[in-house]
Amino acid sequence: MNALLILIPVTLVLAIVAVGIFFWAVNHAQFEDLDSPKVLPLLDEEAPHKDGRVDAGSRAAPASVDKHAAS
Amino acid sequence: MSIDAKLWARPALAGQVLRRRRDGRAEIALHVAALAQPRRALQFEQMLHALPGVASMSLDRVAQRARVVFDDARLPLPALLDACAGAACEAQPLHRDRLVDRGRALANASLKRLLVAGVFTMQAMMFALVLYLGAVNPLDASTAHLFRWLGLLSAIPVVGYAALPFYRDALAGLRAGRPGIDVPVALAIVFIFSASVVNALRGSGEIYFDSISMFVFVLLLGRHLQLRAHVRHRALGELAADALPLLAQRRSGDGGLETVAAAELVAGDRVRVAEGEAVPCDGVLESARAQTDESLLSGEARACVHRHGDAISAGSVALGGPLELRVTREVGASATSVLARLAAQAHAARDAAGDADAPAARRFVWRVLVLAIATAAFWLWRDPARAFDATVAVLVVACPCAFGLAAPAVLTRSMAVLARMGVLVLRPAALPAMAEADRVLFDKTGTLTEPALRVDSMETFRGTSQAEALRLAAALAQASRHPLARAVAQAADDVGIPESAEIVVTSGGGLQGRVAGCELKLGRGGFISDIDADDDALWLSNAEGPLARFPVVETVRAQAAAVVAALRASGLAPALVSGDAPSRVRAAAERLGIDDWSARQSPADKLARVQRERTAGRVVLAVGDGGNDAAALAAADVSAVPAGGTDLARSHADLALLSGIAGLPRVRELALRARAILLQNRRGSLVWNLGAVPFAALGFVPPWLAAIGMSASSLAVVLNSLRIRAGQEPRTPSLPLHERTA
Amino acid sequence: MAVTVQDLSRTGPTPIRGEQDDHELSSIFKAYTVSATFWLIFGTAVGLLLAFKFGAPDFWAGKYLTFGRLRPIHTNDVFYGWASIALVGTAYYVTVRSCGTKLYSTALAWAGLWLFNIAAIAGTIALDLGYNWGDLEYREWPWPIRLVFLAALIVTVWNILATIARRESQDIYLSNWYIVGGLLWTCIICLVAVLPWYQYGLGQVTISGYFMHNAVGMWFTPLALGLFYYAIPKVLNRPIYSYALGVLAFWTNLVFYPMLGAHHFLFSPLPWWLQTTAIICSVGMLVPVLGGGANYLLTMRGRYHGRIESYPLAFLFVGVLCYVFGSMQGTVEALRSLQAIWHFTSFTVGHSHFTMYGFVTFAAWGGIYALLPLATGKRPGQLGMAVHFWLATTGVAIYVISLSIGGTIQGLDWVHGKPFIQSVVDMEPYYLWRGVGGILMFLSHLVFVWNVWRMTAGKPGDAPSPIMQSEEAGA
Repeated sequence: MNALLILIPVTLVLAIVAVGIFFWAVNHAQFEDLDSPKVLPLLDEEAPHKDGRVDAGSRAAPASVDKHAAS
Repeated sequence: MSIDAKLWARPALAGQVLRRRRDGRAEIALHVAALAQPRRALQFEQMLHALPGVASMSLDRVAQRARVVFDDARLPLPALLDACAGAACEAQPLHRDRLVDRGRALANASLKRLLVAGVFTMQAMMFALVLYLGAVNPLDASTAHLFRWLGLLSAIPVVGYAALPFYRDALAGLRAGRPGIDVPVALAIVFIFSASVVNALRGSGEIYFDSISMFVFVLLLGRHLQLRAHVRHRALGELAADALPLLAQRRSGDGGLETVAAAELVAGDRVRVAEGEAVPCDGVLESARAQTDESLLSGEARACVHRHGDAISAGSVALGGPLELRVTREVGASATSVLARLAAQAHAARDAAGDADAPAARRFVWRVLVLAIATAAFWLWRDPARAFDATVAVLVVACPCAFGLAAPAVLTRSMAVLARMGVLVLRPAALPAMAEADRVLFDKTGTLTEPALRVDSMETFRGTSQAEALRLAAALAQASRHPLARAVAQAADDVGIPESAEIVVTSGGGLQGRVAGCELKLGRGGFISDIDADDDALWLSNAEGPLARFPVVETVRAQAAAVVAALRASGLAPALVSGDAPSRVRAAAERLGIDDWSARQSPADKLARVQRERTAGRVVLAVGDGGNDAAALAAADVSAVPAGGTDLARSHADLALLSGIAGLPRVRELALRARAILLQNRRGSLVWNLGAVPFAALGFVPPWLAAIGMSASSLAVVLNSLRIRAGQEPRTPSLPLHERTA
Repeated sequence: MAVTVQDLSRTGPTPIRGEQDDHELSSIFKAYTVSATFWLIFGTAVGLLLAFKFGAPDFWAGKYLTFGRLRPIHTNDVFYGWASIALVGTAYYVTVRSCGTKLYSTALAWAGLWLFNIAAIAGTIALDLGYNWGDLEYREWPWPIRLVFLAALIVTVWNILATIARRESQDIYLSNWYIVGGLLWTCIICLVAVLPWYQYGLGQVTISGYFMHNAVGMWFTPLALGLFYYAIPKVLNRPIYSYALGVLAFWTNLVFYPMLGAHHFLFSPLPWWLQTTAIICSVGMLVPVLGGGANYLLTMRGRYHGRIESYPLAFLFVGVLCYVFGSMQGTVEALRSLQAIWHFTSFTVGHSHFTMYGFVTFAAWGGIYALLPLATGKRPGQLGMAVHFWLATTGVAIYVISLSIGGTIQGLDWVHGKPFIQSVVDMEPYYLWRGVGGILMFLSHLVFVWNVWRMTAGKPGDAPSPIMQSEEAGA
């Protein structure tokens, strides 16, 4: 049972740390726009590979996002 | 790089639009018309993301506004604007005042408090649960003691941080002599927490750390959702660009043109305004003739003809060609600014009237205090040892949790329903006022009526067929942005429009050009020399003389009469207050069935009318769309502006009707329903709070039962509020609210 | 339309991230995947052997191959070797790409890989030599070896946080929240797990419950969910259904999860209240689970045609389903009346395979098939992925179903007080089926090795780009 004497303070400290991180996120505008960040994975441009080839699929990405959003 | 974009490199101009952030980056608000289309919005977003130095952005598609944070050392403002233009998403920088967003700061603070309350309430409830279960599986005394202390520890952040706004608002209310619902809330928190701390310290008696934390969390959640809805509605309401341009074209000493910041203009400067642009400040016309659209000021969508030496107000839009004027008053002193100031003052006067919750809250406090004192007195007489615990128990069951939630729940729900109906609530207090209103003042032009081209009754001369005349007129009209020209082009939509060339837009209201090899003119009578200039109609002529005449009349908007009738039926006495000529106002009033009308009303007259009505004890709903209505809109108890209203009107209205005035009767209906539900909520929660008191006073309500009762009554209030629904009217286009709601 | 958009994005100058950076990221991703694949083969080969030792206990019964030594080797290797390394590899790729920047330090990433592998090798050898720490599940490695794993975590979290700090956008994409949350949290629980105090008796049980379940729920779950939030939109070529819902689910996790580990010790001498709070938290977990699951499935809406268009998506889809149903199964198991039957039976083994295999491993495979070709420019064969998918899916289905039925029978036998040997006899057919499922799963891993070979060093296969062409009907 005495293990709780560790676990409970640890949980409380973690709660405080989590709240701290949340405050950081609020202050750094992480919750202001909960809509546009969703396109971030689709935006990274595929850099050409060593041999200069480019992955065709990833190239098509932005255009089709566009279609999706328009529908 | 375009010349226009380059100008923004000048510090004087950039200073007006850029805001420096603490991290050294710059922030700017842009008006981007392309954002109205979702597809273009996404392209714009991707384009900005790809630019180096752009740190973040947020788009408001409905407000057509983008807020961009960028590193202007890496990406100068002109380069940013150029990139936008290159992507076919022209961006117009907005004044940096537009960046100040108090709602956003409030929402952030409220989010933080909400999370703290949530996390620590969860902990407090966990520890309390252990104690409650102790009744079934007895705990040893030291463990029980530990958990009482842990409960105290968890409640401290909730009571000491998350609940701060309640104390602050309660104190502010008391100081202003108008205690609102925050007073009983703050009292309950402080009393119950202190009593629980005393009990935790002396090691006996009940503790209520879980109930009090939950109480704070539930109320914060209700208020946060209300605030979010409010911020969202207001953001949607901030449509369109600034009324006044930031740039001006000044004629320098040598006769050339230079672009300067509008704020730099001083009286005596000569300024050129291109067609379609707004006049930056008040001045006197230098050109021989000019035509302007003064709808910003008057709400009347009629082209006004000015001659040399006439005064022109800031915010008027140049039509039919460029004009030149001499500045008489600087930007800050211009008529538009004056109107805005008048409206702001009217606003402040009205909002000082106070909080609608106040009387109910005051009665509540008194009742609870009397009950608590009575309980304490009873037990001091019967059994002093139980007096403290019994009094605390009474305070706990009388916690105004459901009561405090009643108004936010109803408001949040109503705003969600209204948004679906295409109505934005720009000031939440407007809804209760909408239910109370018994007088409606309408503006006429633009609100109830609109100018229309009577194509069906057009006359043709010299053997021209109607279709032929329409085609020729449309070929010319395509080149202009004048409302009537657009109407001509629209009327000829499905007739094959011939090619036109060498079109000249002449200052003074006319179009001239070559259509199908023939020189043609389209414009008012005065433009086509030999016809009476006072005629409102449009004329089409060629070298030999007039070919066709298109009468222009004022028509009553489609649903206007039905709206007036419906509002009258629901207890609102209508009146028409217009700045237009008596003949036109009387005609419109007759068609709409309004007996009470007045014409030639200046903005100040309109304001005075509203104030007179209010002094007479009436609750006034004002409906208008022009800048000249702004003061009246601001002074009324509740005001509405239909779609297409000017910025100035919109910024002082409480409700924006995106689907036009047709939605007004349904808003009234919903407001009445919301008021009924709110009363039900209040009564229901009072019945719970006060009804449970005798049991608590006799010691029959243990803490866990109090906590359950508190959550059950709050839930009942929320569920009851969900009964507010839109009526069975035809569906109106819904807002893209759901897309961005978390 | 495509042309226009492409032209627009070209107006921006070249990103600071260069070809060399992409090449380095690709090498790191490759190395983590290859190394994880080794542990997958090794760990599951041991697992397969164990499955057959149920039916034939004397088979290969040498000192170093006893059930008691091999079982922890199997669980620890798939845990610390396969799943951890594979998910950290994808996490590096996801973080770097969603932040639109380059990796903070290549050296740190390599150091982390070495540390992960050293820990796994040392742990395997120690366990086989009989140096079992004797602690409860996932803490069998001697504590110095677990410190090496902790060091690997710290190196990784440092590298990832520094990468996020140099991101190009203000918003930190949701995947990175999950990844960082998982890494930081796991550092803390690893530390708690090696603290020398109270590591005996009930205290040990409590801390183990805290550690072991949190290790699953706060390590693999966030990393796999972070991967979902990147890989599913990437493959489908459409953004996540609701970003806001994902954010809400992330923060709700934090409120509920920390308290639920104790549900593995219901009916133990742990205080009744602690067990009850653990049960309540387990029920509370349904909120983020259902929110997250709905979000993924709604993102995939319009793509259920009864035929598989994309195998990476199929893996991710099975992963999502197993996440939702596995978590719900976990909640149900936490209820006292049901746990009375199921706990300590093979049902729990079925549950752990349902989640660790069906969810975590399928997520890792989906992520690797979706992202590794983008990193290396080499694709696997379509047939290879199909064979892998169907073998693994059939295998795990047989495995979980047989153990769920068998475990229930086993538990009922125990509850009804039948002789223990009766439950063993009753379990025999189910052990056999479990072995069959295990063989299929193991065979699928061999195919996976072939696919990884084609995506890294070998000759590329014929699979289409992992990024699907979006179709009008689906969009």
